[in-house]
Amino acid sequence: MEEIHTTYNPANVSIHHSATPNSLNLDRNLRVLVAEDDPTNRIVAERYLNKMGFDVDLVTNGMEALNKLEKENYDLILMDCQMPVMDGYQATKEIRHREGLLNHTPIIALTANAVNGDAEKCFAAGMDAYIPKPVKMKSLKEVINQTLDQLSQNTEETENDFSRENRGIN
Amino acid sequence: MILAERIEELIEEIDLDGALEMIEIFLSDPEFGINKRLNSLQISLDNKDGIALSREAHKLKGSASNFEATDVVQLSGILEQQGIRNEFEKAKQTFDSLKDAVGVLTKQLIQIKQKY
Repeated sequence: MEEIHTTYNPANVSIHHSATPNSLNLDRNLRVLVAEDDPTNRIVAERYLNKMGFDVDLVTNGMEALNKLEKENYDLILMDCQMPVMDGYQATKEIRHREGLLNHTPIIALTANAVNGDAEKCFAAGMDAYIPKPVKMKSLKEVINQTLDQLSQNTEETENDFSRENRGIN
Repeated sequence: MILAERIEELIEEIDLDGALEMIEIFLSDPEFGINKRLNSLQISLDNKDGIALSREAHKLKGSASNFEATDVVQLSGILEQQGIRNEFEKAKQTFDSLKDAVGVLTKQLIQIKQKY
């Protein structure tokens, strides 16, 4: 089985995972922050993620997510789009602003919208992917793995570019 | 998928306690339960507040979608759009239909809860 070895911030941990959704092989449990105001949706997200082997923290709006991220590092964020106090779009923009260019925590939107333009709105805010509600275990696994795989590839390419630049190779 | 099948799926994918907790919240939670949601929708309609109407309908849609309650999800979605467009007369009719659909869903969820 081909393993992908990736290091990325802010958790800055070595992640070893295969390209298949059901066979995550990690050095430790990945940490996921879920920002979702509806308690029934929180139950679904938390239980699914726990079953998938993730450690999960829950917050109920975008502001709480920002506060949590000031104190803790996460490997992945699931972000509801519409929340009180601060919505998921605004929180994501702020997270990306704070990260700057070097860091990138993957953010997956949770949205009850299914109309055209919503995906673009998520991506414009800086989200990496989105999952329409109701969230199902299968789709959640697939999107998380696709997102982490994409991040692995991007990080490898960035590291290779950086290495080439340091060696003076164009 | 009919409601009973969806609940079975939730029990399988989450667990019985989680599924029952979701039903309990939907039925009875003072902040997130269906009575509070319907009341908020009614207030939004009375105040002709399209933004609040859209927001509250969106929340109900997201919550009901966990049970794949098709009628409630669809009507909430229509109400959400009517709120965005400030179509309050149409929204009143949609809200009446939504209340009926919620009544059906509520009865079904109570029956399922009693079964377990």
